[in-house]
Amino acid sequence: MPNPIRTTSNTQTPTNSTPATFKAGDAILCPFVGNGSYQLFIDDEHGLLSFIAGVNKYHTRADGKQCPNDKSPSIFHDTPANRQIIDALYSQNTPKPSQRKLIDTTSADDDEVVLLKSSKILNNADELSGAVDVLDDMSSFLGLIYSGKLDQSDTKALARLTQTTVDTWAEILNTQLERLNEVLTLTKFIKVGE
Amino acid sequence: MTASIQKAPISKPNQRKVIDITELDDNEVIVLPTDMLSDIACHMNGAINALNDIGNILYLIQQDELSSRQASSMARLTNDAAERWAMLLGHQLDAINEAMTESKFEKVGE
Repeated sequence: MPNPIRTTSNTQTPTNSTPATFKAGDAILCPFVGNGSYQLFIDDEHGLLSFIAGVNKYHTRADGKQCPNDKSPSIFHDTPANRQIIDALYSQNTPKPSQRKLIDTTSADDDEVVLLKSSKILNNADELSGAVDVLDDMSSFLGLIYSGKLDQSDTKALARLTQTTVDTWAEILNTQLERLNEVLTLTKFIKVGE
Repeated sequence: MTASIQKAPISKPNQRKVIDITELDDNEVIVLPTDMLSDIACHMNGAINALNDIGNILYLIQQDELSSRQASSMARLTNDAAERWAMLLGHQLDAINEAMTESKFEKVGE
C-alpha cells in the first residue's frame, strides 16, 4: 500500500495569551539576561523552574515572573511574534545569531562538524603560510650547505641567524597547535603531538 | 503504483554531531568537518617536528660539532624533509583557502 509521507506538524505556535504559563522543556526568551533562546528545566536542587544563560542559572516561576510581586513576567515564549517584539524593544548592537554569516564547507556525509569563528581558521592559515615560507628558506639554505657553496665560517654565521627564526616559528606553531588541540578534545579525534 | 526505493544519504545532516565553539557576537562563522581540523593539527605538528630537526642541525653546525662532510649530508637529508613539509603545508593551506573563499577575509599566502 503506498503510504505517502506527509508531515502535518503545526509549526506555528500561537502567540501566548495572558496569563502565560511556562513548563519544563519550553523554549523561552529573556531579554534581561541575553538575546538567546533558553530552555526551561526543573532544577533538581531546588525543584524550581530554571534556565541557563551563559554560565548563570536563573530561577523563574510558572507565570514567568521572578518574584510573586512582579507586575509583569520577565520571560516570554520563544515564538516568531515574541522575538520580533523583543527585538524591537531591546534591539542591541550585538549581532543576533540569525544575522550571522554562515559558511558551510561540510558535505552531507560528515558526521561530526565544528562551528567556529571564521577568523580562527584564518589564524591557522596565516601560521601555516608563515611556516611554508620558513621551510622554503631553510631548504634554500640547506641546499647551499650541501652543494658546498658556503665556506665553514659563512655556514656557521648563517646557521646562527636562521636558528632564531626556526625556533620562533616552531614556538608559534606550537601555540596554535595547543589551541587546535583544545577543540580536538571535544571531537572524536585525539590530541595531536602530545 | 508500487513504492519505489528511495535513495537515502549515508548519514543525514540531523544525525551529525555539531560542536559549537562560537560566541554569541561572532558575526561570521564557519562550519567545518572535524576531520579537517584534525588534518590541520597533524600538519602543524609535522611542521613543528621538521623545524625542530632543522634547529638541531643548525645548532650542531654553529657549535662546530660536525665535520663539513657530515654537515653536508645532514643538510641534504633535512632539505628533503623541509621541502616535503613545505609542500604538505601548502596543500593544507589551499584547502583552508578554499573554505575561506566565501569569507570576509582574503586568501592567505598568494
